[in-house]
Amino acid sequence: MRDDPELDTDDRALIDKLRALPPEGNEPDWDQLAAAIRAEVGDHAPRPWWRNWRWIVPIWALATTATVALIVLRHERPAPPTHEHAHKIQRDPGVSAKPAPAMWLDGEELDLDDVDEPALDELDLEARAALSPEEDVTGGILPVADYGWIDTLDDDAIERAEDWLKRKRS
Amino acid sequence: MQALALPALLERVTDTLDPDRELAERFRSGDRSAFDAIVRRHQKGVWRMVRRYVRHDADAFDVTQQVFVRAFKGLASFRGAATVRSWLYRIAINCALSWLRDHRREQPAEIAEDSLTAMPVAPANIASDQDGTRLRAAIAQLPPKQKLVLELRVFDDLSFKEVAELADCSENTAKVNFHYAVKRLRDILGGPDAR
Repeated sequence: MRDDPELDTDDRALIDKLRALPPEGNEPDWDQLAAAIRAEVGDHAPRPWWRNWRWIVPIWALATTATVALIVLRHERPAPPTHEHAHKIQRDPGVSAKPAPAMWLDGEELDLDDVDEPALDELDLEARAALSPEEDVTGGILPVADYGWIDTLDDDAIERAEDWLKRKRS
Repeated sequence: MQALALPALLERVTDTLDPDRELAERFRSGDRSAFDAIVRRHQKGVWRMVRRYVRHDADAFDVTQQVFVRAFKGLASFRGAATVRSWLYRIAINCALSWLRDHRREQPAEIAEDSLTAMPVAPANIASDQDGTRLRAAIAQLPPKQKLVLELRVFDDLSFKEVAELADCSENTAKVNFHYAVKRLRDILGGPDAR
């Protein structure tokens, strides 16, 4: 206050007088006042209410993040099969370990591995010629998985095929 | 190195500005004795401030006690935006004004009962007492804001920053109010009598 340039000498003198004034009233016994305050407030320092809950926010944030991460990861890729699941797949009766029969001919199973290649080629050529003698068939005559082509044969073709089979038997 | 030194420097500066900061921190961390230290350091200032509002010493005692009880409850959540002293004085002003509102009818107009039991005035002090009475009467004539700023600055020895916080105004406004208060006091007291 002494360095305040806005105050002149008279101002400072007045302020000094004010400061020299005795305090109003009779001051109490300070020890008594301190003891009274201590008795009033007790011996334990209060804690702010949020101190007891200060872990709630981080724990809540962590739990939420973990939940969201779990949901996202579970939806991203299917879970790998468990050991028990793998056994179940192996035991599935729909899947057979036995190889499918190669071919049936005249009510008997024909193992193509036992038939020699030239004989098969000859049989193939004969079949082609019987089905369409005027047509030059270059591809395979029997579709592997579909016998629907039989429905497309006309009467003459079926008749020629039957004749060929009769000749074969004899 | 500088990055590490800067916060420490700032903390030191803040501690210098508010010597009670460390006590408040200790209290917040559960050290009950830190509050006793705050009481011992500020009870006198708080009582004197309260006594300027409340006429009876006994009432000032009770209000001061109430101020520190409130401070005890609130110190744990005190953020340190102001100094502990100005925060305490703010509570003191609020408590005193609240007490005045509650006891408006009980306040005697002129004669306080303490004046009956006060220490007798020695003849040598009569002149200075009359001077003091005149000064106090002059202060009482100031507008409320100027009176508050003057008292906080002169009697409580607060900085203008603290005065501004308590008077709810800017630091500049506090300074202006203070200078107006001084000039006005001189006008009220009259030129040569003011000396």
